[in-house]
Amino acid sequence: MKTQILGIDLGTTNCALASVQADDGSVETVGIPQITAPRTVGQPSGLPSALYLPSRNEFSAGDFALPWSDRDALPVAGEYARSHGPNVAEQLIHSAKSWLCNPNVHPDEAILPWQSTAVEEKLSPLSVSSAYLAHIKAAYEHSQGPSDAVAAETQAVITVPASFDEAARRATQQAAEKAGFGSNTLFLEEPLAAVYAWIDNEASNWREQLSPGQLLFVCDIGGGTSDFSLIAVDERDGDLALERIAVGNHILLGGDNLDLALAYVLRSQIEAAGQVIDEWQFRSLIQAARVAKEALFSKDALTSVPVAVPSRGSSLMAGTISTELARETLQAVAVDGFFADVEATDHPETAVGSGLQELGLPYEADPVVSKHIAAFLTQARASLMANAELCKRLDPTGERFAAPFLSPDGILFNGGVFHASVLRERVVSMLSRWAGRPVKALAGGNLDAAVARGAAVYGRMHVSGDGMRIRAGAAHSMYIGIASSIPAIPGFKPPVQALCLVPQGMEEGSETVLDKELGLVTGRSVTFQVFSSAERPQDVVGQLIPDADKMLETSQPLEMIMPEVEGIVSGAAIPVKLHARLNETGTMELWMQHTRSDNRFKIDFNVRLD
Amino acid sequence: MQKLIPVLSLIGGLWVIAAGVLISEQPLALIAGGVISLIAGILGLATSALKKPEQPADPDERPPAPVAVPPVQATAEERLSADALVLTSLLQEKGRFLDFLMDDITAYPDAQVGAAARVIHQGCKSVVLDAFAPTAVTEVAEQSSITLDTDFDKTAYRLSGNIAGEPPYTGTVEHKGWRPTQYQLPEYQGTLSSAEDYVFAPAQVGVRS
Repeated sequence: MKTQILGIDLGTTNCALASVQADDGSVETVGIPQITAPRTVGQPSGLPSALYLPSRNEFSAGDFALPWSDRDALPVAGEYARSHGPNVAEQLIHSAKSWLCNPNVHPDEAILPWQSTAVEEKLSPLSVSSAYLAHIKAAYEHSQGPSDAVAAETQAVITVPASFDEAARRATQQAAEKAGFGSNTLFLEEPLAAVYAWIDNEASNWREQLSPGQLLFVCDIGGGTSDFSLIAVDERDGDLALERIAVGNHILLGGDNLDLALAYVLRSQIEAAGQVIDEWQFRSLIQAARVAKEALFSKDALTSVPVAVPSRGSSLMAGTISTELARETLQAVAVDGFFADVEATDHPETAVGSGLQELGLPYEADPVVSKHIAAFLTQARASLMANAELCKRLDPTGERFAAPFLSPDGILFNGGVFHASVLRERVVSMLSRWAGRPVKALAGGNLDAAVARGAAVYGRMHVSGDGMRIRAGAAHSMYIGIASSIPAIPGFKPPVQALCLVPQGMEEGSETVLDKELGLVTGRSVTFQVFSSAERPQDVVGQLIPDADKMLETSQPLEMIMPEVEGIVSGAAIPVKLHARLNETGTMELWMQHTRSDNRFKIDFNVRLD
Repeated sequence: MQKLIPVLSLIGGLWVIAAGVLISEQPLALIAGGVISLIAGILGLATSALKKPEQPADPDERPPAPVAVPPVQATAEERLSADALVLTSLLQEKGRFLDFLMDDITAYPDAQVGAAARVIHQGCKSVVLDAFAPTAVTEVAEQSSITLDTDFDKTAYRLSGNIAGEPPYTGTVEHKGWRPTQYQLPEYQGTLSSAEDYVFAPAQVGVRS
């Protein structure tokens, strides 16, 4: 029986699928059949992460049947949702992935489409992610034919942003389960997937581009989000070894922002010429701005590119409005705006102003990507400083940590925005200037499909056991909340304390035991609260954080009933010791060992669904 | 494969229009040529299904005929090509193709036509690239010399001038030719029994609340 290996890039704006070819083990991207128009099924290379919830009277029955389903596959996922959805915005779900890591919203809460009053039944961020995964799974199984899909075992690898916290990773895992992916499914951080894809692409050459003691910066700018990671290059048993040592925060800023900004500039040009465009035309303008941008970036000789916006009505020649995108505009907006040549000390500005804010997605207030890079490298240094062993290994002379930020030696770019060589060069020259020595961009790689391909490469490695694995410890330290035993005071909520269970950098597959005995309430409903932090590498196992809700990132509490123990009154606390294990998917498993018996309670964060 | 040919000739006309607007100094002349070829393409689409294979007038005067293909007996309905309809829909959706053709071009100055042509060029180009990824038949530059071997591909090369004697032939590339490298059109899932069953582009209605 052959194992089918799939790599799935579950993106904020686009999903992609890659698979390992059975004959030669090479990795290929796979088209995903989807509705491109009513009753029409196309097979673009990716699946736009958009979900459209048609109203009852909008379409005919059968308009959205897919080759593998006789009935309409609703909601509609992919290309048609992306193209038609904006016309009926209240029925369109997009950017669901960014809601997964929103601290104000539970992944299970049915809130999407956000602020819509038009749909009868809303969906949770988790079920939206699950819908994309289920679509990709069904599409792939359909392409394999009925016999193969049943006969073969599948090893799927799904990518998550490195910036995802514990709760968001767990939610992604649940989404995969709900979509029918097996318990063997692996999860991989997107920047690491890009590195695996690069290694696979470069075959044996990759070793020549890196040497021990170097630091690699993975700069992954997707459509809607940016994701940064630092990878240390080390030597082990005479071969290069890679270790992911720092990840950035979730940054809601991506390549689409650039096209949007250009479209705004072009719209003001059109308005200055005395013409008006509506919302529908503005969306075509965004597309046109993207094409014009790509043309200017790829052809140095052009000084400007004409941009035309069609009328909504059928009279094309009477209604087309034209303007042009000048190279200076592109330079000012894209290169000197988003990728401004800033200092390493320039960090993103946080939003000031209105005291009342809309409770939507936390889009970045500062669009300058360079400042987010500076902030990431500064924060990475601060958090790694605390890890003396790592510092010594990374930086025996102490030179690297002397600067207020960590400067890398190499950069691996990922994301379509970096097709523009001028943007790659800007990042390289800026980081070189900060470092005071040349920083080089790694050669090779595939900017668009690298994440899905890398995930498939990782899956192949997992199945065969061959290949170099990038070590990746816990990106965040993790904590569990405990109630303090203090006398009750009316009107005063006792502060939440948290115990550190998984320190930052703890290796996947390892386990910690907390020496302290705690009381576990059995036989009735209790809640557990998990906390995390990317900025507290100094914390060790068992460390008590007194003001957990202020110092740490919270996630939604988990409510469950612990089974009763024989001879213990329901509701009474029994003495337990905590065991935490960081599994291969990067999520935490927690056991509570009764100290007076063999009873072991698993806090299974996965059972809370359904 | 039969239905492919009118589809592709339709595309050919489109390219000439685009080239007319973007390259030529006398765009309207070229556009007119393009439109004629487009109409020919569309007529081809409509009639190819109904045409019977031609019989050679006198077999002796013709080069040896390839293996005889039995005439396909199918009704016009059976030959209704969903692919041709889907392609036209795509060209309209992404490149406003029908809007352009059905508009009265004579009423507008070249500047307006040019502006509209950019919309068509951008949109239709992406459709054609995604569907067929066209490539030139020959790598040899136009106006350069080319030699066609004895077994040259008679579908891919059309000869003009003095073709006496046996190949190899030497000549000048007047046009580099185009061919698809793939055929990837979305598939229509419904059943079509007549042309009226299909809609290229639905009428769009903004509902007032």
